[in-house]
Amino acid sequence: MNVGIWHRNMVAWLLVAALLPAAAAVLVEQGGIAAARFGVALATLLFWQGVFMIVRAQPFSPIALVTAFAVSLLASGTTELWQIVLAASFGAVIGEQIFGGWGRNFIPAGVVAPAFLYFAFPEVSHAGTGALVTLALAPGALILLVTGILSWRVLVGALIGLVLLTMVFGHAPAAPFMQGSLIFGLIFLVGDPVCAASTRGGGWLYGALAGGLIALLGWADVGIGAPQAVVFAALLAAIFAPLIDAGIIAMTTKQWSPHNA
Amino acid sequence: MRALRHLYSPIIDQNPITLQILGICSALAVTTSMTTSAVMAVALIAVLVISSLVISAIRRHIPNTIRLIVQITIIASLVIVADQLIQAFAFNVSQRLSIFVGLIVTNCLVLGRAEAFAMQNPPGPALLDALGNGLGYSLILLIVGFIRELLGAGTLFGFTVFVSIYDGGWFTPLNFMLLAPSAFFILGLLIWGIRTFRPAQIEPPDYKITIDPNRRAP
Repeated sequence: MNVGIWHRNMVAWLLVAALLPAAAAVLVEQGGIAAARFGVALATLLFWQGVFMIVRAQPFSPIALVTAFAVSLLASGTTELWQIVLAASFGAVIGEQIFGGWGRNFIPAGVVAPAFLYFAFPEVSHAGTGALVTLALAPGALILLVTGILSWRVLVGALIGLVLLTMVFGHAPAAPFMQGSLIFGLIFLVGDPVCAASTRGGGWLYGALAGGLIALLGWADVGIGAPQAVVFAALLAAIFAPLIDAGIIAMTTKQWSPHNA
Repeated sequence: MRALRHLYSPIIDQNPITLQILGICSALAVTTSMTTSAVMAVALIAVLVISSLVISAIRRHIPNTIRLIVQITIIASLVIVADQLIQAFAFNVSQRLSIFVGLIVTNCLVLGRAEAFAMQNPPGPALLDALGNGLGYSLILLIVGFIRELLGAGTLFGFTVFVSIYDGGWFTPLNFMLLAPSAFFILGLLIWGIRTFRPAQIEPPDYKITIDPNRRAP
């Protein structure tokens, strides 16, 4: 097998590496309960990876670390750990494993699990994290951009959409950047290398859609500080990503036809 | 005994919901509680059985060009009767079912059995086939309704099974179960489960993923 160093797990390990500073920042801000959520989520995810390893021979993937971190950060109000177990199981099985494991899913498990929590237990209120996490996310984002795991088109498109709509709603353009969980979602959930649009033009469109949705849901609905905004924006954008890609591919191949030559 | 095959094969092997994926719309909409699921199931069985019987009895007299119109007319008349009966004797349930009893007219299952089976078969087998399909539909409806009501509200047929935290108990209702997407997930998991035990139901894949061992891309 001549696959080079850019194996699936290499990408996942780089994503994990990019998370480390942010993980430290979350630990400083939220303390032990965040670590407990992370541990429980990770154990659940590894359990399901093990089950699908035995039943379907789907290999383990370090992406569980990223998903567990997403759950622990975005479900900040959940103190009942069995709810985390339920959400992580749902995210891992329905969002990822039944499609054949990470790399074949079309919605990140880190989006499915928190979205399940928000729907299943609407009475729990979740809070975002502060600007410290945003700062800690910057070096990770840089690593992902340089290695090409995070498409710069998606990121720039999302930032344009987010800032533009923020200004339309009459808020300071810097306001979203004070929310650590929002920026985390922007980089790791919207910019997920598996589920984001993968064509060039599609990247711009998908990014702008996701960024615009974050601003729309954030300012007009749940509040920009609530993690719901970024999770539902990422969910909707990920559902549209294959359509966007298909449209771009159809337009491109149409241009190749001798009709226009 | 062979005739009975029409009765039992649609219950799991040819189940209208989990194999033929018919009648999904009502299966999502009415399964928030066991009561609505059961009333809907009874209404559908009644409409399906009587319409299949009537259509099968007059199948040689229906002109082929307008057969769909005749079938719809018969089904719609029966649905109106069923709807009126439910409104008369179970008004609360009829309010909760809203338009979904009326929408039995457009349920693919009823028209599908009329067109595919009752038009070609004598009344006896048509009756058994309709009853079997109705029971298969009801089985899935009741299973989904059971899971959704029990986990979403902690009750069954309106009677408390798990005391929820709002009444001082221990059970946290899963609000998600009362939303339509949960029925999609439950149906999907049911289909997965059934096909695990009945591999004959698995369709061949449309596309095969193959990995070229010499491929240099990641």
